[in-house]
Amino acid sequence: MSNAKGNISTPDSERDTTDGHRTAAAVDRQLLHIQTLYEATRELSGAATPSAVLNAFLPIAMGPLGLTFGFGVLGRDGGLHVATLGLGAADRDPFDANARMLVDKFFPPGGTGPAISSPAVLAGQHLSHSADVPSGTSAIAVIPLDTGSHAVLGFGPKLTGEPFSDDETDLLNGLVTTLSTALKKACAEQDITERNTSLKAALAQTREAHEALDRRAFQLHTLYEATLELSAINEPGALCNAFVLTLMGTFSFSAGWIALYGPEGSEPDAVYRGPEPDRRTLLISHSGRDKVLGRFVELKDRMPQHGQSVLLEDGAARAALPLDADVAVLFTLDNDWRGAIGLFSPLSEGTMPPDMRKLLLSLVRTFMVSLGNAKHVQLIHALNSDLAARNVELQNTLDELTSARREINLLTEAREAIIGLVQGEVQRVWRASWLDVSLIILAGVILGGLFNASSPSGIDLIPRSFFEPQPEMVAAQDARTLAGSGAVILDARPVEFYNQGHLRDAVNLPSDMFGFAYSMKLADLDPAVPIIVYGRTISRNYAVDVAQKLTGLGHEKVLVLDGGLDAWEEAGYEVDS
Amino acid sequence: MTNRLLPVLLLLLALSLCACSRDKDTVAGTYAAKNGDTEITLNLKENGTGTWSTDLDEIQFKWSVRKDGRLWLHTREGGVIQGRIMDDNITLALPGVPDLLFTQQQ
Repeated sequence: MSNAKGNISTPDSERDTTDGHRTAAAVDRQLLHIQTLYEATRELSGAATPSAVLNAFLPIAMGPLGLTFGFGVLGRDGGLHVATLGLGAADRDPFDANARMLVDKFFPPGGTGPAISSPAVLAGQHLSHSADVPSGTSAIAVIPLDTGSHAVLGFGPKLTGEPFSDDETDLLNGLVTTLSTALKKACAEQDITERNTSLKAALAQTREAHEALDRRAFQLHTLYEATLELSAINEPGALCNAFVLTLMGTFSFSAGWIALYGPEGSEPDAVYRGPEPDRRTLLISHSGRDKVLGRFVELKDRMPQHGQSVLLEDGAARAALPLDADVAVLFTLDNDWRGAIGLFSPLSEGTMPPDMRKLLLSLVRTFMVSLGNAKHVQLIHALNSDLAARNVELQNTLDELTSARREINLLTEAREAIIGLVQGEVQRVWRASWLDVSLIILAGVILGGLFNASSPSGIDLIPRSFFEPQPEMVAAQDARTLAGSGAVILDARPVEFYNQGHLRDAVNLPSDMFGFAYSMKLADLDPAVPIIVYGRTISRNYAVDVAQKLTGLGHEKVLVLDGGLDAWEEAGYEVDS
Repeated sequence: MTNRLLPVLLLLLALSLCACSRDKDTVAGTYAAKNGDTEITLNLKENGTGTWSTDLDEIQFKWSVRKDGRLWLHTREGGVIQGRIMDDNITLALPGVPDLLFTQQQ
């Protein structure tokens, strides 16, 4: 700068004479002012923030003007930055406290005051006594920046104590204008930086959101594809097979299994995909069933209810399942069917993130819906088959009923024909003539006679006893007396009657086998011994027949008990049976 | 009426007569038994008649063999004496008398 001053002043001093020194001094001041403005512009342009601009401006402005102190307040977005240079602690502290009031004085909050649209410099002795600024303040500059941002600067008196000259005032205005430009630029850059930062943050958030959306789209697509695939399958076994493959592909596992258990005694459904296919037998065994259902019991109140599923977090519980399971899900299809899903041998390391766990549970829910539908379809098929069988049975029954109805119709017709025939015959019977009746009676008499004549048991049409002399009768008392004196008592009734009851010591001599029995029992009897005979019924008088035969055989005293067995009993005598 | 009843009556008569004619060839013959001092001879003829002979009397009767194999002697008074046929012997049961064992005579 001194070289520049020398280069300029040397030619001037050579050309000018009287006013040369004055003019040279003015030019030197202007040059100094220009250099000051240039340096201020250069220095301020290097400051990154408005605060740094303000801090850098005070020494730049105070030096060329020879000021004793300076201060500046920058209000921006509600915040306040205060910079001072050359103030003692006694002046600086009150100023720091009143800085907000100073700013509000020139830029009232809410824009209620007079609008200041461009930088302005106030200079004068009156400022040195203002209460808002440090004592001795000789100039104040106010700089509007943008909405909500503004700066107020103040400067102390010159070291020489002289007031500002016009050149110095111009320089001060120029410096304030430069400061205004630098502050606006710094504010703009700061705004841009802040916006850039927020933009980057927003961009990062957008990227994360995009990635989340991509994952969500993948999950929804997976869910959609799984739903589409499972909904087309109606067989539970095939459904389990397709679903375990879907899970293995979606969650990158090389092996997996599904086991489904119904009521006690029912066949379990189980699918295993992975090495050693024989391990499926572990799932369908009784121990496999007990191990899976045991995990349900362990969950207690967290046990999945109808249509629910739960991720098995506990490693020990997963280890207790019948097959390996790095990831395991228990689910309850309905009141009868429960199942478990296991995935193991992951293709990549690491735990399953939360959104993938949610996807897994969503897929399991979809699987359960499809499985429930498949079970229902299976049930419907079974019911349809049963219905078809019942229809066949019903058709057979209808055919049999139709056939039976035909038979009934035929039988009814036959019955009506027979009834008509019988009724006709009955009517004919009622119309029978006396000749018919006589013929029937005659036929009956002839047949009866023939039967009686041909039967060995035939009877005489007229009892022979009618033509024989009637035997002598004896009363019960006399008969008892005779029996006591040695008379023989004969019971002439058939043996069946005799066995039912007879006089004591009576000999059974049935009338219808008289000859046989007589030769066996009485052939040696003395003819003089009295014989008392009894026995008769309503139709036969056995006693008379026997008595007549005995008389015919030479027995001298044959008597018939008058009144028979009844008279004997009425007399109170002994009867044996 | 008469025309319809007559065949039925004739049929019943034929059945009754058939029922009376039993196979007697294997049973017919002469049998003897003893009851105390009394000797009894039973003669069953193939025509269904027979005689029961003792020292004092000879009694005519008819006899038949029933479906159950039992022998019935029909007395003229209408009584029936039942007996059992055992090979060549016949056992008859008379009321008040021990069973009589008749042995066939050659």
